[in-house]
Amino acid sequence: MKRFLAIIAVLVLCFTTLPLTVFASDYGSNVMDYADVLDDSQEETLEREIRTIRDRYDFDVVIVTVDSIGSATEWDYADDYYDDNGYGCGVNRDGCLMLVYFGPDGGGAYLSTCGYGITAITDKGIDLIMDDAFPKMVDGNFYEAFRMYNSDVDYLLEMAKTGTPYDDYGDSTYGDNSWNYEPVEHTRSLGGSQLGIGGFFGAIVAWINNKRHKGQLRSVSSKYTASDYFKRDSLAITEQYDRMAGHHVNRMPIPRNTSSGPRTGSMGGGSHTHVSHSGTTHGGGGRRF
Amino acid sequence: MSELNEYKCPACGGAMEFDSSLQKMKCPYCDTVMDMEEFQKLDEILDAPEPDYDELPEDSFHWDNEGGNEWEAGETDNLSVFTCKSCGGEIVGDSTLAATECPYCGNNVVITGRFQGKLKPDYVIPFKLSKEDAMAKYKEHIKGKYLLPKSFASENHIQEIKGIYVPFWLFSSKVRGFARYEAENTRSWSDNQFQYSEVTMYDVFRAGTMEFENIPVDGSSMIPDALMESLEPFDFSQAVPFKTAYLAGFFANRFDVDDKACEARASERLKKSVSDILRGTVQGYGAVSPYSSNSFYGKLGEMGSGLGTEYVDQFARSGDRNNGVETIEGKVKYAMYPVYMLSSTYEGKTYTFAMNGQTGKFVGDLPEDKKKSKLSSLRTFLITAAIVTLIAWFFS
Repeated sequence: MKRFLAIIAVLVLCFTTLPLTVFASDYGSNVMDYADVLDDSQEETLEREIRTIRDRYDFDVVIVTVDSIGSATEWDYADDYYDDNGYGCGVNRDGCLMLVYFGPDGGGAYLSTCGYGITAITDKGIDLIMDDAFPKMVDGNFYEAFRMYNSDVDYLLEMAKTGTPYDDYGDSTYGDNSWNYEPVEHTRSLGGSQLGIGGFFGAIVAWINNKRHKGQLRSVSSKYTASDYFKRDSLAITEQYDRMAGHHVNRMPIPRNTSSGPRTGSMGGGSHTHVSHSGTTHGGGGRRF
Repeated sequence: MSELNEYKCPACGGAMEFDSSLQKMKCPYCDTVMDMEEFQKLDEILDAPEPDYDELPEDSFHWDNEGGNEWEAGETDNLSVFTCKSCGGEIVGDSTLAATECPYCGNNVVITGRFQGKLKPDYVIPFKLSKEDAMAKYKEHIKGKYLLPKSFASENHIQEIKGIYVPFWLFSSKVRGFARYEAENTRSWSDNQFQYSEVTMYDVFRAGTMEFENIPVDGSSMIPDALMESLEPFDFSQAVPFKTAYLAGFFANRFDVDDKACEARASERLKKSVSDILRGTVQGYGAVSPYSSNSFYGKLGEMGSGLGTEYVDQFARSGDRNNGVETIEGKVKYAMYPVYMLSSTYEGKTYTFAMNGQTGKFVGDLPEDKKKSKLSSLRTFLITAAIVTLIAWFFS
C-alpha cells in the first residue's frame, strides 16, 4: 500500500510539474531574462500575459534582457535576435521585442517592431510604451516595467484593430510607411473635369442671359406700398425707446500651435522603418539609461 | 448706514462699481463696462414713463365717403354706353363716336344704350398727352426687345389706342402706428490670448403719426389692378373738380367696384408703408427684426444675461404685439384718371398695354418668342461652355 501510494504521489508530481515544462517548450519562451532581473514567478506572469496577447491578436510579444550587447548597436541586436530566433506570427512575422541591455556605457531599452507591429506600434506608440515603462526600469522595477509594456502593447493592438492606430494625426502623411510621395500628375490632355466646368459656366451664363431677355418683356407689377402717397414730412414720432436689454461678452482662447517637439529624422506620423541584417523590415525606438 | 444705491448691471444683475482706472462703471461679475452717460440713461429708462400698451393701435382702417356728387339733369345726355359682345366690357363715350375697337380685348364694340349713372366723379386729372404721344410711346415700348416675336411688332392696329378715363377710389388718411423691434449689435476684438465677441441686445419701440393722400385703387373690374398700379404715380396736384366737358373726345369707364370693396387694397398698401417708415427711424444697429417675446427672451436666455426683476416685469406687461396701424379721419374720393389703352391678341392670348395719360409712363407685358428663346439659350450655352473649357484646359 505504501509503495502504491508512493508511486501515485510521484506520478501526480510528474503530471503537475510536467505541464509547466510542456507549456514552456510548447510556446517557446518569450521572456528571455539573461540579465536575471526577474524571478521565476514574474517571468511566469509575463509569459501568461504574452500568451493572452498572442491568442487574442496573433501577435508575438518578446522580452529580452542581457548584460551586454557587445559591440553591436541596440537596434541591430534586437532586430537580429528577433529574426534569428524565429519570432513573429504569420507570414509577416507580426510582433515586437523589448530589449533591455546593460553595459559599461550604461545600457538602455530598445523596442523593435516587425510586420503588423510596425503598423500598430507607431513611433508615437513606441513613445507611449517608453514613457510608461522606461521610468520603472530606471528605478530598477523591471517587472512592473514589462507589465506596462505588455499592457500598452495590448492597448495599441486594440487601437489598431479599430482602424485608427495610436499616432500623431496632426500631419497628413499618416499611413505612408515609406517616405515616398506620389508625384502629382500633370497632364495636358482634355479631361472630363474641364468639360464639366465649361458646361457649368455655360449653363449659368445662358440662364442669366435668358432671364435678362425675358425681363425686358415684363413691365406690369403690383405695388406693395403706398410710399408715393406719403405726405412728406408728415411723420411725427410720439413715443420711442431704445433699451439695452442684455449684454454678453464671450471669449475664446486662441489655439496655440503645439509642436510635439523636434523628432530627429521623423516627419511626424507613421513609423520609421529600416531593414535588418536578415533583410526583414523593422520599426523601433529606444532610450538610454 | 447711508442709503446705498445699488447700481445693477443690466447684463447680469450684479452690483456695478465705478472703476477709477477706466473711469467707467464696471461689473465685477461679468466684465460689462459702461460709460457714465450710458449708465445714467439706464436709470432714466427705468424711470421713464412706459407707453400705455393697451392704448396702442390695433389694425383698423376706416374711410368716410364724403363724395356724394350726383349727376345733374341733362349732364349725361350725350353719353352712350358701348358694350363689347366678346368680353362684356363697357366703355362710356360721346354718342357721336363711331363703332370702335374694345380696349380690353380688341374686338368690336357697339352702342347699347344711354349712359345712366348715379355717382358723379369728384375729381379728374385731365389728359396731358395726346394719342400721337401714346402711339409713339408704344413704338418705343416694343423696340429693342430681343425675344419679342417679329410678327407681333408688325401688327398695325396701333391706331386703335384709346384714351379712357379710368375710375379710381382715392383713399386719404392720417394714421397712427407703432412697431417694436429687437435689435443687436456685435463687436469683436482680441488680445494675444483671447478672442472676444460682445453682443448687446436692445428692445426698440417706435410710435407716431403720419399722413397719406390719395392712394388710388382702380374701381373698374374690367381693368387689371396690377396694370393700373404699374402706371403709378398719378400726380393729384394736377387734378381739378370734375366737369363732364373733360370727357369730350375720350372714353370713360364708370366704377363697378365700390369703395368698400377697394378698402382692403388701400389698407394693405398703407400698412406696409407705415411699417417701412417706422423701420426707417431705427438706425445704428447691426441687426433689426420685429419683436417677438419668444425670440427675445430666448436670445437673452442664451446670452445668459439676467435682467433685474422689475425690468422683466416691465417687458411682460407689454404683451407680444409688435405692430399696429389705425386710420384717423380716413376719407375716400371718386376720381377719373387719364389712361391710354390698347389690346392685342397674339396666338390666342390677349396683351393689354396702358400709358399714364398724365406722366407718359408706358407699361404692358409682351409675348415671348419661345423658339428664339430656346435657340438663343442653347447658343449662349455652347459658346460659353466652349470658351470656359478651353480656358480650363489651358490652365490645367
